[in-house]
Amino acid sequence: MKKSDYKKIFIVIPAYNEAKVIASLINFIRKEGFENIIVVDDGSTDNTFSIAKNSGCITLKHLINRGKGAATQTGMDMAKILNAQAVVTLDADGQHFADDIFKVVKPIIEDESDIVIGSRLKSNKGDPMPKFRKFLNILANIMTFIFYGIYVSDSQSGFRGYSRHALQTINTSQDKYEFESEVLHQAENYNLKISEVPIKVAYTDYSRNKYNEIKDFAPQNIFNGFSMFIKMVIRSIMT
Amino acid sequence: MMDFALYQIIIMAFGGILILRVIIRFLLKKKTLRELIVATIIWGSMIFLGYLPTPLNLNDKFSEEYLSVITISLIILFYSTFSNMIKTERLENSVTRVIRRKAIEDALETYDTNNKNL
Repeated sequence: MKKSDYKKIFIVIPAYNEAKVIASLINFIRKEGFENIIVVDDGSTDNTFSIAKNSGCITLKHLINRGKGAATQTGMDMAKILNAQAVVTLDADGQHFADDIFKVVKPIIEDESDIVIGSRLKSNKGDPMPKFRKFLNILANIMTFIFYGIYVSDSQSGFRGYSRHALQTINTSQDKYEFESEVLHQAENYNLKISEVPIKVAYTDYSRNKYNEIKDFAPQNIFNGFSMFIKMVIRSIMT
Repeated sequence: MMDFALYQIIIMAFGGILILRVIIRFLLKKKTLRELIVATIIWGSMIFLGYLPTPLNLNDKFSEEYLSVITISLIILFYSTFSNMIKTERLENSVTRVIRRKAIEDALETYDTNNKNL
C-alpha cells in the first residue's frame, strides 16, 4: 500500500467518556501514518470531545448518548461526506492496536473485500480473550447466524474496515451493540464481500472496568447479551 | 379424536395465525426463507406446547374457563408488550436520526468556516 493511499482512509472512533485514553489512541493512530481521524463523542459527560478536538481530529458530538452503533454510523456518514475511499472503525477504550489498521484496510485497498472484520478470536498475539467473554462472543456469533444468516468468528468486533461501496450501501438502524450484527446482515443482503483478519487485543484494567461501568458499551456483559438476544427474537417474529 | 381444552385451542390458533402471517410476508418477499424458518420454529414450538396434554387436573368446566381467560390475558399481554417494544424502538431510532443529523450538520458548519483544508 502506498503512502498516498493513507489519505483516502478515514479512521472512525465512537467514544463515550474516554477522556483518559482518547488522546493516546489518537497519537498511536497518527504514528501509523493515518491523519484522517473522526471522533464521534456519543454524549460524553467528561471532556472527551474537547480533547479530541484539540488533538486536531474531525470531531462530532451527539447531544445525548445514543449508543455505540449510532456513533459509529454517524462517523461513517461523515467519512462518506468527506469522500473517504475506506473507513476503519475501532474502539476508543484502547483495546485495539493501531498497527493492525493496515492489516484491516489492506484487503479493501486491494479490492478484495468490502468489509473486513478484525477478529479477536483468530489471533494468537496480544492478550487472550477471557473465557467468559469468549463464550459470550461465540453465543453472539451463533445468534447472528440464526437471526441474520451469516457466520463469522467475531461478530461483535468493533475493529472493522469498510470500502467506499460498503459505506454507500450500509445504513443501519440499530443504535447499540446489535449494530455490529446488523452490518453483517446488510452485507449478506447486498452481497458485499466479507473477510476476516486476525487482530491483537489488549485487555487493560481500564477497558475491563469500562465494560463493567457502562452497560450500553458492554456486549460482554451478560445482561446486555441476553437483552440483545431477546430483541433479536422479538424483532424477528414481530416485524 | 383428541379433546382439547379451550385454552389449548386458543394457543394453537394464535400460533397458527402468526405462522400464517409470516408465510404471507414471505410470499410478499418481506421476509427471507431463513426468517420464515426461524419464526416457524418459534411459533411452532408454541403450538406444540399448546398441543401437549395439560398438567393440571381440569375436571370441571369452571377451572377450564378460568385457565382460558388467563391464557388469553397472557397472550394479549405479551403481544402488546412486544408490539410496544418495537414501536418504542422505532421512536428511539427517529430520535437517533435527529441527533446524528444534528452532529453532522454542526461538524460540517465548523469545518466550512474554520477548516477549509478538509
